[in-house]
Amino acid sequence: MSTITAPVPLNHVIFSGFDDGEGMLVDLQKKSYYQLNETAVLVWQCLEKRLSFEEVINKVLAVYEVSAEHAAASVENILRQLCARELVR
Amino acid sequence: MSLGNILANGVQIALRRCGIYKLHAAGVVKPGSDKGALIIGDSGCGKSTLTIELASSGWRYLSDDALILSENCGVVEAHGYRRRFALLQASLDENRLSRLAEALGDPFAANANKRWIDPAVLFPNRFAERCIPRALFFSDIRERFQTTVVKLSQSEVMKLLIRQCPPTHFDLPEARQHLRLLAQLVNQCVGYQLMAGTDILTERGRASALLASHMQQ
Repeated sequence: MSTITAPVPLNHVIFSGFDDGEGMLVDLQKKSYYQLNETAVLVWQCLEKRLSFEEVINKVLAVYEVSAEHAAASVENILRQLCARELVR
Repeated sequence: MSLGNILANGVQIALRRCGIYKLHAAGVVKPGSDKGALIIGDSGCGKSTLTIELASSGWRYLSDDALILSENCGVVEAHGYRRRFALLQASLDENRLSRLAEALGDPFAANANKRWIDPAVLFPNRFAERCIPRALFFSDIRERFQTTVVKLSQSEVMKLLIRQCPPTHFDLPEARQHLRLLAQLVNQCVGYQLMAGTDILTERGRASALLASHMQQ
């Protein structure tokens, strides 16, 4: 089975996770921060573990009762936003 | 910049290298407990006034303005960084403190409207060397009578803490560890926005009852 490489978190972007499930990314170069919802936290933690795109989707499917299509769309949307903000490469 | 400020900045940089971070906040401890509350905000947000009010109601105090934070066995502790209080003359006039004349010190160099106060004279044996914060109150003064307290989400608390800790942004070698400590502080505390009205000043014990009621958990 072929795997699609997921983007990698940049070193100057620092993740903080909170007990309520949400999180925050701080970009030390741009001096900006971004709030993450629970799904985005899960995706970010997968990226930190260098999981592939398929593995990230499987993690989402393991946590949320959603279809594979819905999970893939959510992960793609989150990755697109992370790329747009230059938080990953 | 005065020599004192240069030295203080040097000390803070050295402390950050050791995992110890300054926070512009007042620190108090709820009576009959070891639960610490930090009152956080810019100058003029009521930190000193609230600290005086709470100490008058039996709370122990760490500082009215400056704390240092460090992590000990996975728990964030707060320590007082400045022992003397600095109060606006107007706040001093409004407070009915016994032994005030005895506690009054020189004018505060950074703000001619403020005076140094020795809290050890006003509140003997109430100084707390350190505390474990369990509540964070982000304070600002509102032009109304009644004080309002609103619970904040953990993300909102983190944003407000980052705004209060500029070294998080510019002191890159320690930024990761600094942010980790702030996140730990967020996770061990409940955060509130405290919109302080005049009732806190006019009703003795009001501040104590209000803050204590939000530290029941």
